Amino acid sequence: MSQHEIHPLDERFRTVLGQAERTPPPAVWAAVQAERKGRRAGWIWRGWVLLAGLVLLFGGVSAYHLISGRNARKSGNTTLASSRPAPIPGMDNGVAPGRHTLSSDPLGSRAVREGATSGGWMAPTNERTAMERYRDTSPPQKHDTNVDTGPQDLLDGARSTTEVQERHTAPPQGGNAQEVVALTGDPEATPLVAPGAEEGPQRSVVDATWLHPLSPNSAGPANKQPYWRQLPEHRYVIRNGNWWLGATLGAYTLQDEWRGTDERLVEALNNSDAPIGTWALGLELGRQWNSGWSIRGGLHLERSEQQLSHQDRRVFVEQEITTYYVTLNTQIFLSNVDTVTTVTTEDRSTSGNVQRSMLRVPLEIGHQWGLGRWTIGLQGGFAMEWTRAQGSSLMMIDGEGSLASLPAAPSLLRSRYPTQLLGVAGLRGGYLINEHWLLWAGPNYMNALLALGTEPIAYASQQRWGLLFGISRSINCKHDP
Amino acid sequence: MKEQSESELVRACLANDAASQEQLYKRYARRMYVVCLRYARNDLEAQDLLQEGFIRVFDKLNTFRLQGSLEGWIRRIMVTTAINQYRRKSYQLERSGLEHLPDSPVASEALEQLGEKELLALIADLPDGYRLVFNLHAIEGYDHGEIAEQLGIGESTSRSQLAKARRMLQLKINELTLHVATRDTSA
Repeated sequence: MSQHEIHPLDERFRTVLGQAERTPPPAVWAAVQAERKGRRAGWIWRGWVLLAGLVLLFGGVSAYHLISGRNARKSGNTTLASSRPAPIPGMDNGVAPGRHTLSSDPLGSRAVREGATSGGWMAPTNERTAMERYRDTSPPQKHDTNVDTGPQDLLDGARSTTEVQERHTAPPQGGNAQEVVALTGDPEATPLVAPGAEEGPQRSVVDATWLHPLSPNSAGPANKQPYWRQLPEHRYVIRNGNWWLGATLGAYTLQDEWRGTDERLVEALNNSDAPIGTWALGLELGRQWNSGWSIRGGLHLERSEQQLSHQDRRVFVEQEITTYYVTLNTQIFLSNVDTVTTVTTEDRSTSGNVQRSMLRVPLEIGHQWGLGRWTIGLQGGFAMEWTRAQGSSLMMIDGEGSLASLPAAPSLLRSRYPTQLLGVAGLRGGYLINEHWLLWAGPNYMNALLALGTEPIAYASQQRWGLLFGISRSINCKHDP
Repeated sequence: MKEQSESELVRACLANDAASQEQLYKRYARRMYVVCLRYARNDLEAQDLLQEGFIRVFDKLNTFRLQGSLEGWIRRIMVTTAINQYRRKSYQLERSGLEHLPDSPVASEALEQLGEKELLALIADLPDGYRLVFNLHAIEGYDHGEIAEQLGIGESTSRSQLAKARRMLQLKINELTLHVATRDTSA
C-alpha cells in the first residue's frame, strides 16, 4: 500500500468510517455457526459416499474374482495345463526320441496334432501307451494293480502328481514290464521300470501334463480313435481388445447459464448465479482395442447444493400536484402549482437453497497411446443427464410483474432443470499398475447441447469443468486355452 | 471472565473451542460490520458479507501467523469477500453520463455536518463499481495499481471510477446540504 495524496472527501470518510462500529444482528452469529456445522456434515456425507463407492468397487472386483475362480475350477483343465513337463533322465530336455512333448504353452495342443500327422508321436505298435491303457476299461491285470490310474483320477484337481507318483512306487509284481509306466511331474524322480524290463525306447513314458480332459464318449472300449485325434480343437487366439470395469470420482465446478423465453428473468438469473463445486461418483464399463481406440459408457451420480440470497428493491414513485392560492379579499393575489414527488423504497429479502441430484449416462469414444506403463488419451462423446431438484424458493416474476423470490413448486423446479443432452470432452493420463489395473486421471469438460421438451421461460443450461479420477480393471485378459 | 490475548484466542479457536470462537466473533464483529456496510448496498447484503467473511476467517485461521494484527487480517478477509461478491456484477451496472459534470468542491462545513449514518448511506447509493474503488482507495488506502490487480481492471479504469465516485458523492452532499439549508430557512 503506498502513500497517495489525500482528497478532503476521502479524509472525511476515512476518519468517520475507518474505525466506526455497529452491532450486527444476533442472527448473523447463529448463521455462521449453522453454516460451519452444515459444512462439516457435508464433508462427513461426502466421506461416506466415497467409502460406499470404494466398498462397491472392491466388492465388485472380489465378486468377479470369486465367480471367475469357480468357473476355472469347474473347467478343470487350467490346473493341468499349467504344469510343466517333466524332464526324463537319459533323454535330451526330457523329450523322448520320436515323440513330441506337450508343454504348458497352449500351442502344444497344435504340436500334438502335427506330431501325430507326421507319425512321430505314435508309440511302437507292440506296446501300449499309458493313455491307451487309461481308456481301457477292462479289469486291470494283476501285475499292474499299483500303476493303473484312471483318467478321472488324473483329471481330478484334488490329486496331485505326487500322489500319482506314490502309487507307482510300489514294485510291480511281475507281468509285462513294457506296461509299467512312470507318471511323475518331479524332474528328479527316477523312472520306474519293472525288473527285467528293457531300458530306452521300449519304455513308455507319459507326462501327466499331457493329459487333457477326455470327452465322455472316449472312455468306452468301442471308441477306437487314438487319443490325439480326440483332443479339442482349441486355438490360441490373441484378443483384439479387452473389456474393463471401472469406478470414477469427479470434482467439478458447475456453472448454470440461464436461457429461455423471458429475457428479463433470464438476465436476472444470470446476474445472480455463481459457480458451485460438486462431487460425482460413477461406474463405467468399456472396451479397449489394441489399436488404441476405446468406447466407454457408465452411470454417474452427482449432487450439488446452492445457497440463494435474493434482494428485491422496489421503488414506488408518487406524484402529487398541489395548487396554492393566495387571496386578498376575493381577489387572487398569487397562485402556484406545485408537484410533490414522493419516492419510497421497499427492500424485500428472500434466501433459500436448491439441492440437485443429477444422474448422467455418458457414452464416449477415445484413443489412447501407450508410453510404457503410462498412457495418455483423448475422450469425447455425449451424455444424457436427468436432474431432480428440491428447493425452498426461486427467482421468478410475481403477479405484479416484478422480479421476486417466491416458494418454488415442484413443476417449476422441473422446468428450470430439464433433461439435457451434454457434450463431453476430456484428457486422460493413466498408469498401469499391473496387467489388470489402471489408475487414471484427467481434466473433463461438459456443456449442455440440447434441452429436451418444450422451451420454458427460464432453464439452466449447465456447464462443468473439473478433474476426473478413475480406477479400472480389465475383465478378460486371460487367454482361453 | 478474563479476556484472552489474541494468540490465546486464536489457539483456542483452532482447538475448536466454541466459547472462544464466539468471543473472537464478538470482539471484531462490530467493526467488521461497518466494513461490510461500506461495501454492501444495504443492511441485508452487509449481514451476508459478514457471515461469509467470518466463515472464511474460521476456515483459514490455521494460516494466520501470530506475528501481525489479527484485526488487520480479518479486515483483509472481509474486503476480499466483498470484492469476490461484487467482482462479477459491479461493472455491468456502471453508470455513465457523469463525465460532463464539473468538479464541484464540497464546502468543508457541509462535510463536517455529515455523520456516520449519512456517510454510509451516501456510499451505499453509489453504483457497485464506484463503491468498490472508492472504498479500496479512500478508506483502505490501496493505490490504483493494487486496486487494478485485485479487481482485474486497468489502472486508468480505477482512476476514472474513483473520479466519478467522488463527483457523484459531491453532488449528493451538495444536494443534501442544500435541502437541509432550505428546510432550515423555511422553518
